[in-house]
This record gives sequence, C-alpha cells and structure tokens, in this order.
Amino acid sequence: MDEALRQYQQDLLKAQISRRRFMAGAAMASVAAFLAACAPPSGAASAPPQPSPSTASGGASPSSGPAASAAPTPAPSYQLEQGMLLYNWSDYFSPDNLTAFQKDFGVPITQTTYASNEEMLAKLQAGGKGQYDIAVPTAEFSATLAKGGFLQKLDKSRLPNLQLVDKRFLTLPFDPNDDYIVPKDWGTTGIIYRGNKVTTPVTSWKDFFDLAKGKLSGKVFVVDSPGDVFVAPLRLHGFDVNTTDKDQLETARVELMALRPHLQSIDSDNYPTTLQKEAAVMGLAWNGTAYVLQTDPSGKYKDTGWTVPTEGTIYWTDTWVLLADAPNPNAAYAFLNWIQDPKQQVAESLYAGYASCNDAAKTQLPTDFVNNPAVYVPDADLSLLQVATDQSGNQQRADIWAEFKQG
Amino acid sequence: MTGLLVLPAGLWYLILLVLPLAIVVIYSFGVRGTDGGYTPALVLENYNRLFARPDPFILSLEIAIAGTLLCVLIGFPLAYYLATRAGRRKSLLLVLLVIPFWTSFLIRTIAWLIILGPDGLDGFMTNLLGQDVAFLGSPWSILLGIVYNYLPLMIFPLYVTLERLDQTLLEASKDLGAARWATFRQVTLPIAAPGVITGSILVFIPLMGEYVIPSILGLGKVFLIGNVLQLDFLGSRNWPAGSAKAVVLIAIMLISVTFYVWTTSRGRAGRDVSVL
Repeated sequence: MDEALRQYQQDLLKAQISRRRFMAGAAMASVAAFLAACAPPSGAASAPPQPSPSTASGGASPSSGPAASAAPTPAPSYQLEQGMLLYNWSDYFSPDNLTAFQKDFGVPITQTTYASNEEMLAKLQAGGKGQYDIAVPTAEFSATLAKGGFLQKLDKSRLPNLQLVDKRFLTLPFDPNDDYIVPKDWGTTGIIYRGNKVTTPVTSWKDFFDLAKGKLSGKVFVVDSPGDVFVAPLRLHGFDVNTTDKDQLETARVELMALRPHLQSIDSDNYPTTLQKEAAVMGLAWNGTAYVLQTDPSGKYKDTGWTVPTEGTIYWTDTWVLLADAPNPNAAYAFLNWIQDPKQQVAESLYAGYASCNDAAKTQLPTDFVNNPAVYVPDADLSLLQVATDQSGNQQRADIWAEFKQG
Repeated sequence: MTGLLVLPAGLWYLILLVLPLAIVVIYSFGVRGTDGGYTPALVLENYNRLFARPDPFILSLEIAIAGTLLCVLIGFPLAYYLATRAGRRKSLLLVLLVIPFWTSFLIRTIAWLIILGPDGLDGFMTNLLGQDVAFLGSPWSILLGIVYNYLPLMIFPLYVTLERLDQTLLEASKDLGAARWATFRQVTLPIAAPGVITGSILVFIPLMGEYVIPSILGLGKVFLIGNVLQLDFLGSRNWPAGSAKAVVLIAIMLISVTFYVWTTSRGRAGRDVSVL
C-alpha cells in the first residue's frame, strides 16, 4: 500500500500545475489542451538539440565562442565544462535565455523540471550525487537545503553581477550572509478578485474575511499552502506572520475555521481556471495569476484585480542555488553571473510574469509591466511586505492546518 | 526445488514489502528532524497524538464502505448479465469495460473535474435552479469518481465466478421446485460469494488509501487519510507522524479484512471455496 501511495504522489506531483506552470497553462482554452497540460509524459525536458559545444566553439573555452557579444557581462576567466544541468520549476526559464546562454558561452543547458520544493528535495535526497548544477527553490526552502548540506557556498568574487541585485532581496533571514542564494524573481501573497463580480472595494484582509463570510460566501478560494493562508488571519489581528505564539495561533485558528465553510476550494493548481469560470470570484493567492488573467489574449479577464492588503502580507523570492555536488561548477558560476545581467533579467521577467529582483532590469522593462501593481508592488506599499520564514515544522500550525483542511 | 520456486517472489516481498514496512515501523517511533524528515528516537508521541483527530479516518472509512457497496450493487447485475445473458456480445462488452483503462487514471479523473465543474453539471444546475450548486468538492463527487474508477475491479472477479457457475445446478434447483428468486438466493449467490469477497477487498483496500481522487474532485476540501499522510510527509515533513498513522492504518486494515473474510467465509470451508 505504501508503494502505491508513493506512486500516486509521484503521479499527482507531476500532474500539478504549480504557480509557475500556470503561466503557460493560462492560455489553454480547450479541454484537450487542459488535459495535455495536466499530464506531461514525464517531468523531464531537455534543451532542444544543439550543435555540440566542442564543434561549435572549439571546446570549453568561453573566449573562443561568440562570447558576450551582446551582453556587457565579461566572459569568465575560467574553463567551462561542456554542459550545465538546471533543475527548475516547469515553464519557469525563458527559452530565449536558454538559447542565448549557449550562444554566449557555447555551453548547452539541459533542463529538468519539478512541481514543488518538496519534490525537488526528494529527488536530491534519493537520486544520488551530481544530478544537477543549479536548482531554483523558494528562498525559505533554500535554508532547508543549505542545512541539509545540499548547497555549496558561493564564491562571490565569481559573481560580480550580484551588485545589480536590489538590496531588499539580499541578507534575507534564511541566508544572512548571502552565502547560498542568487535571487531570481519575487512575488506577493494577497487578494485576487474578478472586478466584474466584486464591486465593493477590497483593500484589506478585513474586507476579505467580511466578503467571504458575507456576500461572496461559497465564491471564495484560498491556495492550498499553509505558509500563505496563515498570513491573512495573523495580519488581520496585527500579529507577526512568523509567530509561534500559542495564543496568537489559536486566534488565527478560530478565524480560519470561521472562514472554512464559506470556501469554494482550497486549491493552488486550478484556481486560475476557477476564476475564469467565475466558480470563485475572490481568493487568497499569488500575484502572478492576476497579471496572467489581465493580459489573457482573449481580453475577457481584464477586470481581474490584485490587492496588497493594508494590514500587510508576505513576499517570497525564488532563488538560484548551486548544488553541493554540481558536476559543472564553472559553467554554473558563469550562468549565475550571466543571468543577473539586465538583458537576461528582462527576458526572465516577461516570460514568467514575475518581478525581477534586479534594479537595473526594472528600468529596462516595459512601463505597463513595471507599473502594474499585480507585478511590482507600488513603492508606497512596500512597507506592507514582510519575509516569511519556513514554519512547516511548527506542530501547532500543522494541527491547525489539518483541522482547516478537514473543515 | 520447492524453495527455488518461491525464491524470486520471496526476495521480491522481502525487499519491497517487509523491509520498507520495517522502516516505516522504526520511523514511527522517531521524531521529526529540525528541518523535517526523521531523527532516530524511541518515543510513543506519534501514536499518542494519533487519536486526537479521527475525522479523516472516519470519513475515509465511510467513503470506502459506501464505495464498495455501490460497486457491488452496480457491478453484480452487470457481471451477472455478462456471464449468463450477454451471448455473442460478451467479448465486445468485456473489451468495452477494459478500454477506459487505456487512458491514464489521472486524465480520467481530471475529466470528471470538467464534467462536474462550472462548464458541466454544476454550471448547468446553477443556471437551472438559479442558485449556486456545488456538487464538485463535496464527498459525493468523490464517491462518484471512486465508483467510476474502481467498478471494473469489482466486475471482473464477479464475472469470473459467475462465468464458472454450473448451469445444471440452476436446472436442478428448478427441478426441485425452487422459484427464480429462491434459486438466485440459495444457489447463485452462495456460489458468487467468493467473487463478491475478492472484489470487495480489491476495491476497499485501495479505497482506504485513496489520495488522487479526493485531491482532484474534492477541491482541497475533502480530507481523507491519504491526504493526511501526504500532508505529514510532504507538507510538514514530519515523517515519524506520518509513519505512525501508516502503521495504524495497516494494522486496522489487516484486522478488519481478516475479520471480513473470516465472517463471510465461515461455514463454507468444507465446500472448498478459495477466497483469493
């Protein structure tokens, strides 16, 4: 039975549409496309066949390739390996950057994908050494990986472009000395709603709870992620999002259980479709979805709104990390430095729909992208944002979440 | 020689069943590591906390029993028809029963998400009644998904036993003056019993651990024992807590299935009827 359960888990994990994955999935109009998107034959995807680096650019030397012709990033002074192995969320790496890296360095990237931080950790634990060079955990999960010995400390002298990163995304509590992480992009947890159905203004968690328990009862969802859902009741009462205080968590429990009967779903995978079909019209979710719905080619979901609640919320950062047993560390360093170049950052942001952590890139992105509050939180609201630490080990939170799921 | 015959299967079960089971039992006495996973220890805490929240287990049991009963009620007439009345169409009908299995289990379940969702049943009923209908996300939608997916597992063992039913026994019963219902009750049903038992076990045991169907059709709101285990292992990464629940689940399943087989096959031992 255990074996079967594990198989089911694997199947489901592969089938899940993560918050990133949806970026590609959003365009799916037909049932067929939906089904196809939900059931990839496997989690792996390789780079398209490319001429081998040795024939294309005379070997591993980056300087002999058409190195950095477009990018201002200087070519590294060290020998690169013949390939780079990237372990990433699905649809979370710009295909343009994939080809550009090969063009700039003559090193092809082989990409494999996962659907959750936990799936990645399981693969790293179980799969043996030297599977990948770079992975893309959420920042608080990087700390778990680092403590588990899965990451190697970065040699920052090899990453001069780190100076381009907005200081706000450095010295995070999980990695106070920036030993392990290179920020990729960032987003917020807040309130998403369909403007055509939610006509009263939604500005706060209080509005969220009031509407959910009142007018919008049965038309509201929350993402299936305790780290995000706990934010709402805790901030509603002015508590720290990372609190471990028993009484404060108990208050959050009461608040969540009062909300529970009014929920349409507790779901992280399918909620964009739910919003499109108006099966739910408001939810606690991640900002990228709002951007995707607003910019849907059909133009039918332009009314989608995004609120950073006035009581405050969390922001999360996804990070590039170098794995401890990376077989191609030089190529990986070249990549980590190169990817922080604004040109690459712009491509990444526009592809994934999330805000770049790179100050220089922000000035090069289209104005409507940068000024969209669903992508870049307006400067005035930045003070509302806090960093969440990994609380998955807190027993009381785990119990509350189980009770909440149970209803 | 006899030893050699069971060697492959024996090794298989040792490596893939006994050893993993032993690991789960050992883990169930441990504690969660600071960053998740397992740290060796010898505590009973995971078992003590177990009974604080029995609801997911009770709901799983209810759904598994209801699902198994529905499979018998729907599967028996169909298997009976296939075995005794289908005639030349029998092969075609059997193939039709198998064909859905050619599609991935996951895709079949996600298809129900669309059939029942806002573009399907729920949307239709909402328009019809003028008020919100949410069948999807309720335990009933899970029951539907379960019966749909597990029905063939019930039909085939039933079909096999009913197919072997000796027609002369029915004739003898008729000659002895039994009406059709009496014949069915006193001859057909007892002969089909092993099929019912096998089918019930094949359906009930995986149903108790069912995780995918409630995850997809429950919209995250139906919380069964499989979802509890998933949350323990992947959500809070508390392997010992999850292991303790798995151990107790296995124990309860062993006891209840043994009890079920024992009560249903009691008194038939002399008739040389095998159960599985």
